[in-house]
Amino acid sequence: MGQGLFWRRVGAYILDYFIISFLVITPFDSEFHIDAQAGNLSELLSIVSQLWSLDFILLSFVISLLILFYWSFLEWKFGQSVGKLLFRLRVKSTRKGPIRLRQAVVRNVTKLSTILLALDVLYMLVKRGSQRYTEVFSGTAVVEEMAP
Amino acid sequence: MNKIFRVLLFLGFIWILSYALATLFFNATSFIGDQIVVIPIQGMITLDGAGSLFTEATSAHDIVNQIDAANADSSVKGIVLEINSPGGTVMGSKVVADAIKNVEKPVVAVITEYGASGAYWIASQADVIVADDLSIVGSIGVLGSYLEFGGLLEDYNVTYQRLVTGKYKDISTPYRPMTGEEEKLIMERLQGIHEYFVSEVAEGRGMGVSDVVALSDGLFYLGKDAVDLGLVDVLGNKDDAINLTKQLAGVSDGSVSEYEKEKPWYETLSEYTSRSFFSLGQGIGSVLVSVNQEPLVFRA
Repeated sequence: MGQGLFWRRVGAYILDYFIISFLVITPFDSEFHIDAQAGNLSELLSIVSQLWSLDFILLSFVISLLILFYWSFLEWKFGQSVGKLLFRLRVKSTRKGPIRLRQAVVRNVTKLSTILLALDVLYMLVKRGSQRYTEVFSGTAVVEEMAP
Repeated sequence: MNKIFRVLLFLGFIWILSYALATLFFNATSFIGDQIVVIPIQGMITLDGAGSLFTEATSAHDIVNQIDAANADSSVKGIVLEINSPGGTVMGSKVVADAIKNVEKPVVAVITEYGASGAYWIASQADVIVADDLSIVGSIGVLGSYLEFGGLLEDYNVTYQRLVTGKYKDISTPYRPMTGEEEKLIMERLQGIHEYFVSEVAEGRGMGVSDVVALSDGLFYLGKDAVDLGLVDVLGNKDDAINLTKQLAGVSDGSVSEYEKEKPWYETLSEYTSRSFFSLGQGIGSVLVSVNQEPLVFRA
């Protein structure tokens, strides 16, 4: 993959992340704001364990679904997220026909975790290819958008 | 339909969906466990939060709503009032002070920079007042001063045409000098408010009225001196206040949440933008803050 395409993908991701932060995270952040005060490790662990309740897991799940919805819907319906739209990138299916919803979900699932996404990108860099692992798995690829 | 428009429509949809889910979720669950809430009281305190061009103001109604919500929430075990205010209008201060009286949980007021006048009135209703050595505390008194432009108008040959149906209807007009009788009437009322203020502080602090009267000449005190005078209980900072509240509430490891007033979407957008791209303007703006006086607004 060309250096230019890679950095455009990075730029598009940052822009999308910025949009997601505002659209999805901010509404929850305005309601859920905890300034944890921990004097030592045991206090910190206590606070974390207290937060790590079923409701907290549910909250994380809801936010994750919304984030996944953002990426997947836009790439399924329009072939590009807002970041990709502005950086003139497009997601296409490497299989027959247009990209399907299932493919869009699978290719974006690692974006919910920084560590998983880093591993996903690492695969692409190690292989010196143009596809992340989930892109290979889902049968999708990001290409430069052709001028009309 | 244009693609850009459809994308924007989707973005709007996901934003509304997120807000709706966040509201639903937080109304339906209380997953934080025992908690101490911090309610900030910053800037001039007015009933509706209306300040002036250079004066930051906070709405007494918003503060009361936060206090009532914290009092009603069973997960909230104690309240910290984080005060940094030079005071406010009489009614703005009074409604907040009254709301604190109704709280059945431990309330600790921490005065960070200023806790003067009406802000001290509010603090005095808390169970404990914490302040820094150098916090500005006290200033018990009532202010009704205003600018009088009669002389200026005369210099420019502008006449104030007095048309009133009641003798004292324009008692506070800035367009003519106040008569001696009018000044006496206004001062009587200011004195009435002053006495009410003093009695409230005395009751809140468990002090004798005469002791508070002795401190009610409008002078402010530094935190370290205020302890000796009985205006402050403990020297410390916000963390100390939170720990003290936990002790009073019998909470060993509760979380701490900070209440923020609900903001309209454009304010959220603005805040988000400034948080993302650090705003230099805030620093410059704070230098421009100055005290602004409006015609006959009684301030405590």
